[in-house]
Amino acid sequence: MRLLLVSLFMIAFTVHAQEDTLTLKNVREGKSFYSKFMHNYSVKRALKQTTRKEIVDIYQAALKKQDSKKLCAYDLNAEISNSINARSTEIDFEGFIYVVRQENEIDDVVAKILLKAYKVKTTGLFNKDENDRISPDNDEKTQSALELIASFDKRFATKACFDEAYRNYYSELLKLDKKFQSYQLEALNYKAFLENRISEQQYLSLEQARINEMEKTTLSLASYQQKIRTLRIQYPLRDVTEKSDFTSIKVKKMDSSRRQKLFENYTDMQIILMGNVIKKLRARLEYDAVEISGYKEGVLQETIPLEPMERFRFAIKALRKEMTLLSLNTFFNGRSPDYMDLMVASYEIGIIPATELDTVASLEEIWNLKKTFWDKAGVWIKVFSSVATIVIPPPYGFIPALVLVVIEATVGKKRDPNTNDPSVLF
Amino acid sequence: MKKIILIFALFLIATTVANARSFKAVVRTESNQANEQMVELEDLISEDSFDGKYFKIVKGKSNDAVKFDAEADLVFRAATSYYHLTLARNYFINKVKSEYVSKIEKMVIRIEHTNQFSELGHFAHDNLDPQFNNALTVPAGKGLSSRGIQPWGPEIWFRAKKKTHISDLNTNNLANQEFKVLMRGFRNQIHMQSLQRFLASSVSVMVSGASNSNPFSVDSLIRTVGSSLIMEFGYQFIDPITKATSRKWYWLDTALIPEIIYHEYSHAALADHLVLSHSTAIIEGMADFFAGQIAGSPKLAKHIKKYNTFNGKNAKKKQDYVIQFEMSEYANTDFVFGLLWEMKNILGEEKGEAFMYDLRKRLTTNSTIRGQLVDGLIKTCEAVCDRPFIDKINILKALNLKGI
Repeated sequence: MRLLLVSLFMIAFTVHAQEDTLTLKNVREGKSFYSKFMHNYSVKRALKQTTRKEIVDIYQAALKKQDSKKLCAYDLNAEISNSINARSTEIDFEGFIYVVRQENEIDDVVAKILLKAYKVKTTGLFNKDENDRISPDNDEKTQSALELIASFDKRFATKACFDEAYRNYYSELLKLDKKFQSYQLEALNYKAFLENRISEQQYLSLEQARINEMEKTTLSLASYQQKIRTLRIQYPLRDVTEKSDFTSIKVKKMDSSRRQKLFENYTDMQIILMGNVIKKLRARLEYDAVEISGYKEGVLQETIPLEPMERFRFAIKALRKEMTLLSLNTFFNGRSPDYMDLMVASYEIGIIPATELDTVASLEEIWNLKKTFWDKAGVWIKVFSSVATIVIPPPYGFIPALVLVVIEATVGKKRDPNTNDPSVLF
Repeated sequence: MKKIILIFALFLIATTVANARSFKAVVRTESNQANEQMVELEDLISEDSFDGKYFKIVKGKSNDAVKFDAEADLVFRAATSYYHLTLARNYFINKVKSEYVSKIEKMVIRIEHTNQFSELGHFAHDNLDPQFNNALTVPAGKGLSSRGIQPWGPEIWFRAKKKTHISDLNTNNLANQEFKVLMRGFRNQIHMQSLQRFLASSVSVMVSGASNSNPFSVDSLIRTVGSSLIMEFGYQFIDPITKATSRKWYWLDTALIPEIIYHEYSHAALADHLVLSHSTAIIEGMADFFAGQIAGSPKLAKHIKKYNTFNGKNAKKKQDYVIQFEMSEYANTDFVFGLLWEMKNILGEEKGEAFMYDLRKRLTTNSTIRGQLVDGLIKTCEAVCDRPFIDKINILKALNLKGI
C-alpha cells in the first residue's frame, strides 16, 4: 500500500514537474533554417554589445517569468525587451533571437513566432493624407464593426495572447461581412480611433496586426507548445540527441522551413496520422515476401508471389494510395499533405531516424521525376524549332528539322507504359 | 662455413632465376591502351617452358607446356596469358581473400585451341565446327577410362584468331537500328516541313495575292520537292551506305586481351557457386564485374563492344530494360555488368567489391535477373551493408530506374 502511494506520489510529482518546467529548447532541428538567411550583421551587432552567455541568461530569465499555461510570444518578447532596455547599451533584438536559436535554446518554429511578434510590434504606421482615406458607410454593419473594434481589449485581449485575441476578433468581424477587405478595416480602425472608441495605443496595435495580416497566422507559441506536448506524450523521443538538417530546408515558394510548414499547417493529430503512413511504408519496404491470394467462395484458388522489384513497387503504390486516402480523411478537411510533409511528420514522431530521412524522401523521384535543365529547355527549343521549320528558308530549313528530331530522340523520352513493361503485377 | 653460405646464395639465385623470367607481353597503360612490355612471370617451376605452380600454358590439345624457345607469336600469347592469369589469381587471393581460389588446383590453359568442349570426351572431334575468336572456361571432368580419356581439372581455353566477314556473323545490329529510327524521324520531319512550307505559301498567295514567293512556280516546286526527294533517297539507301562504310572484317585474339583473360579466370574463381555448366547473363555479368575490378577500369564493356557480336550496347548507357534480355539472344552480359557496376558505385568501392563476392553465394548459374539476382542483391545488402536499410533503398531505386 505504501509502495503504491509512493508510486502515485512520484507519478504526480513527475507530471507536475513536467508541467512546470517550461522549455522551448531545440531538440529536433540540426542546422537552423535561418543560418542561410540569418543576417550576420544582426548577430555581430548583438554580440558587440553583449556576450552569448548574457543573451542566453536574459532569455532564460524572461522565459522563467512566463506562465506555462498561457504562453505568449508577445509577453515573452516584452519581457526580453524590458531586460534589454534595462541595460546601459541596447541589444539588436533580431540578433538576440538568432543567437538564442544558435545556442539551441529555441528551435526555428519558436524563432519564427518570436520574430513575427517582434515585427508586428515594431511596424510603423504611415501618415496617410486625410484626402486619401476612405470613409466607411454610416450603416448598421459599420456600427456593429465599430462596436466590435471598441470591444477588442475587453472582449478578446484580456485573457488571450495578442495573436490569438486578434484571430478570434477577426473571425467575429467576418461574421458581420465575409468579404471584409483590409482597406475597409483600415477605415474602420481609423474611424473608431477618431470617435475615441479606442485609444491611440489600441489603434496602433490593431493597425499593426492588420498590416501584418495576423489573421492568416495560424501558429502561436501556445499552440505550438501544445502540439509538441501531445506528440511527445504519444511518441516519446527515442534519441533526444538526434537532430536533422532535412527539416530545416526551405520549402519552395514559401518563407518557411519544412518543419515550420508542418507545425503551421497541421494539427498534432494530423501529424500523427501522416507519420503512420510512413511507418507502414517503412514496414512494407522490409517485407521478405508479398503474395496476392485469390479466393472463390472463401476457398483459396491461387497465390501469386511478387518478385523483389514488384514488392518494392507495391510498397510505393500502397503509399500513393494511402496519401490519397489521407486527404479524404475527415481530420484533414480536404487538405492534401505532400510527401515531404509526411517525411517531416514521421521524423517528428521518431518513425524515421535522421540518418534515413534523405533516402526515404528520395523515393519521391519514382513517381515525381525531377525535370532536368534539358527537359525544360527541350520544350522551348521544340516550340522555336517548329516555327523555324517554316520561317527559315531553304537550304537551311533542315537545321530546325534536325534539332526537332534530335530532341525527340533524346530529351524527355517517355516510356510507353504499355510496351516492354517487364513488371508482371506492379 | 663460407662455402655453405656461397652454396646457399647460389641456390637462392638459381631458384629465383627459375621462378621469375622476363617475357614480352601485352600490358594496359594508364590510359588503357594495349602496349607491349617486358614483364616478369612469377611462380614458374620449369626452366624452359610455361609451366608454373598454378598455371600450365599449352598449345591446343597438347599436355606439354609451351617452350620458351617456341615460335615468337606463341610465346607472346603464352606469356601474356600467364602474366594476366597470375594477376587475376593474386587479386582473388590477396584482395577478395577467396579461400576457394587458394585451393584451386593447377589449371591448364590452352591457347590456339579450336576444338569444342565435350563433357564426356574433354575435346570434341577436330572436324566438329572448330571455334575461333573467343575464349571459355571449362569445368573439371571425370574422363572416360574406357576410351582412354584421362580426368581433367578446370581449364581455360583461348581460341585462335580468324578473320571472319561481318556478314557471316549473326548480329542483331541494334546500333544501326537506332540510327535508322533517327533517320526515319528526320525524313518524316523534312517531308512535313516541305508540306507545311508549301501550304503556308499557298495560303499566303491566296489571301494577300503576294507574287514574290509563288509556291506553284517551277523554281519553288523544285526546291520544295527536291529537298524531300534528296532526303528520301538518303533514307532508302542508308543500309547499303552503312554497309559500304562500316568495318567488314572481324577477329579477336583472346589470349592477348587482358580483360578477357581476367574474365575467364573470374569464371573459375566464382565456380564454387556459379557452376560452369553453361553461359547465362548472370554468370557472364559477374565474371565481367570482377574482370573490370581486376583491370581497375569500367571500360571493359566498351572495349569488348567493338568486337561484341551480340549488339552494340554500352554498359554505361542507361537503357530501357526488356524481359527478353534474360531469355533470348538479347540475354547478354553487359546489361548485368552495367547493373553490378552501378551497385558498386552505390555501395562504395571497397564495400562494393566484398558485396559482389558475397553475392555469388546467393546466385546459381540458372539465376534470373529479375528474380534471384535482385533478391540476392537485397539479401546480400542485409548481410553485408553498413547501413542495410538505406543501401537497400538506394539499390532498389537504381534497379527501378533501370526498368527492372
